[in-house]
Amino acid sequence: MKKNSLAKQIIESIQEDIKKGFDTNRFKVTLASMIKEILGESQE
Amino acid sequence: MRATLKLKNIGSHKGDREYEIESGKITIFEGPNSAGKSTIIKSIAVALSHPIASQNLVSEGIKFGIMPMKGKEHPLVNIFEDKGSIDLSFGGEEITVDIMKSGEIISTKRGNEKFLYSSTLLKNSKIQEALASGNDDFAWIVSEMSMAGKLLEYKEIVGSHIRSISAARAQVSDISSKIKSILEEIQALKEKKIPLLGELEAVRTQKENVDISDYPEIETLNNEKQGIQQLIRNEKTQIDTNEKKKRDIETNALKLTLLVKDNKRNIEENIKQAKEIDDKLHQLKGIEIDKLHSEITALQEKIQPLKEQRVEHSVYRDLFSTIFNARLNSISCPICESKFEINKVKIEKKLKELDNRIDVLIKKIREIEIEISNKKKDIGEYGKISDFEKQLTKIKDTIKTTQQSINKTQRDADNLNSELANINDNLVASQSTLKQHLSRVEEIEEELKQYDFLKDFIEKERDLSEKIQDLDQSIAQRQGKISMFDGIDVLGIKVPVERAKEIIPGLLDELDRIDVFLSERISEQQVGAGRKFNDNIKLVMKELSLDDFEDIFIDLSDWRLRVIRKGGMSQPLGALGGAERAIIGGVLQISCKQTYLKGVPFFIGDDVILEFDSKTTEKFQKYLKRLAIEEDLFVVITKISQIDGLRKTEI
Repeated sequence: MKKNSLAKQIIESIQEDIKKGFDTNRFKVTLASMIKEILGESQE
Repeated sequence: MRATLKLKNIGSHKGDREYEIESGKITIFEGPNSAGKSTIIKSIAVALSHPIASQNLVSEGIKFGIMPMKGKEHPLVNIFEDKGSIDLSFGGEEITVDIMKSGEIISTKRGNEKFLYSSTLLKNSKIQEALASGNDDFAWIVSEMSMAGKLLEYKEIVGSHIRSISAARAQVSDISSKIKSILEEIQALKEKKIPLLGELEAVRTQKENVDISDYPEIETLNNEKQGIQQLIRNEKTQIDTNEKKKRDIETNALKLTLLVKDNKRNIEENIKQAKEIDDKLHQLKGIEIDKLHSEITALQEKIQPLKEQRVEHSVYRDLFSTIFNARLNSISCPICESKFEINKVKIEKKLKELDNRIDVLIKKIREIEIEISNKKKDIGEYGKISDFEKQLTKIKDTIKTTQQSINKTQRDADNLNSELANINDNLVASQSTLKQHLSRVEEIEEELKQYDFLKDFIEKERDLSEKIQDLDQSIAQRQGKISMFDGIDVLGIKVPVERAKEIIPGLLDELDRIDVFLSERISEQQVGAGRKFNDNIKLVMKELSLDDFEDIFIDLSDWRLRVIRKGGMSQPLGALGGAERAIIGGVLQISCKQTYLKGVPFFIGDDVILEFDSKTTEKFQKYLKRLAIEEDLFVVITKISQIDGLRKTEI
């Protein structure tokens, strides 16, 4: 797992949303896929 | 600026309708219920707010009648049509909204769902309902009207992931504890196995020191034993077969004996019957038939005078009886006319005498008649001699046939008895052979006992091997259980337990950081939005010059709505009157519009705005008119009134 990368990326995406507009579904998908990526790496 | 609203199959009117609204004015649509005035403001609300995603605003849309309840038809589409449409054009903007009865809405332009909070002053709006219930918690409005609302949705998503992953962490902990406990059990089983392995090794060493080929007699004896055991089995089978045969023969012999007995009884009866017929024949053959006829003739001659005598006596008796019963003392002779005295005593005596004679005669006649009848019967019997002879011959034939049958049955029975004797002999011989075999087997077993020490090794080895095998099986079962815990499900991904144990705490830390970030941004947004909202409330109050209230604001420390009356006294919402709450609602609604939806040139409302006291209504109208002019705003208000149809008035 890349330590701190998840929080950093998500916070950046929220800051982007604050500027450009929110999309709840997109956020949900982004967060879930990032978490799954971390969990998926753990299987390798 | 002019706005055109075209409606097709919307509301209670089928077909097309068109309305024109001027900006810079207050347009009032007036009419009775079902005139279509509410349909106008609802249509404007749909056109400007679609699509509505926020759950709170969906509820608001359902209450306003611009969104369908789940599974129901869209309330705005005419009940006789499947589809309706709304066209709203103003200042170069063209919005077309097609509404299906099923609830689907297709719009040519994306609206702003917040229009429903900020530009609608309806009696059943969330702001009015919150005030009416006395609930002064207004955090929701600053959240939903600012970015805080969306950030709160993000926070909820992050929170749900934190909850799922925390549950997975708890599961990891539970599985780890179970695995630990199973590993301890495996260790205990392995320790139990060690001494058994030692014992097995020792037994095997002892067994190897004994050479089985030194004892060839064991095999010889075992072979002999097996051979005899086979003979015993054969002999037992033979005995069983003979026993069955014996039972069958005994049953058949019994049946034959009973048959002989029955036939003998039949013969006895037939002989008795034949004797009776023979006696009868002898008797009949001794009869002289002519003599019988003469005797009958003689008897008939003898009976005739007796019968005549009887008739004569009867005549006399009838005569004397008549005289006796006539109650006369004398009687004259009809011929000689001589007169005779009647002596009743003599007559009575004569009557008795005649009765006796008649009885004697009747008796004699009867006896002779019986004698004649018997003789006639004998003559009849004599005629049946040939029938009796035939009957006798038949009975004698039956006796002969039955006797032959008895002889045959007897021979069969003798044969069966002879066979039975043979079987009994065989059985005795088999029992004797069986006894000899069993005795020999006992002898062999006795001889084999001296080699039991060899058997001990084998049994002990087998016993120890089985125990060790059982332990191995228990260990394998437990290892199988551990292998079942090959991973846990985290958000649909199977992660190995050990890896999950390592990775989850870090992941939760990161999610917590996101959560903290969101909380900080939400707080910032709420405070910012709250301040802006309060500034606009202040401005609207100033413009309206409301006499009763000194200040209305949302307290940024607890997000509660504070109402300060003139003189500085804080007033709880629950203590305010309905009219006062309606005024505060109007203030908040206009402030909301001015704070959050400045760009949308519409403000709609129902007649709640006209229900204030006349002075306040005038103030609101004046202020709205000014806003309409200054901001080129379309202000559309509905008003209930008992006129015919729908009337549009512009102020």
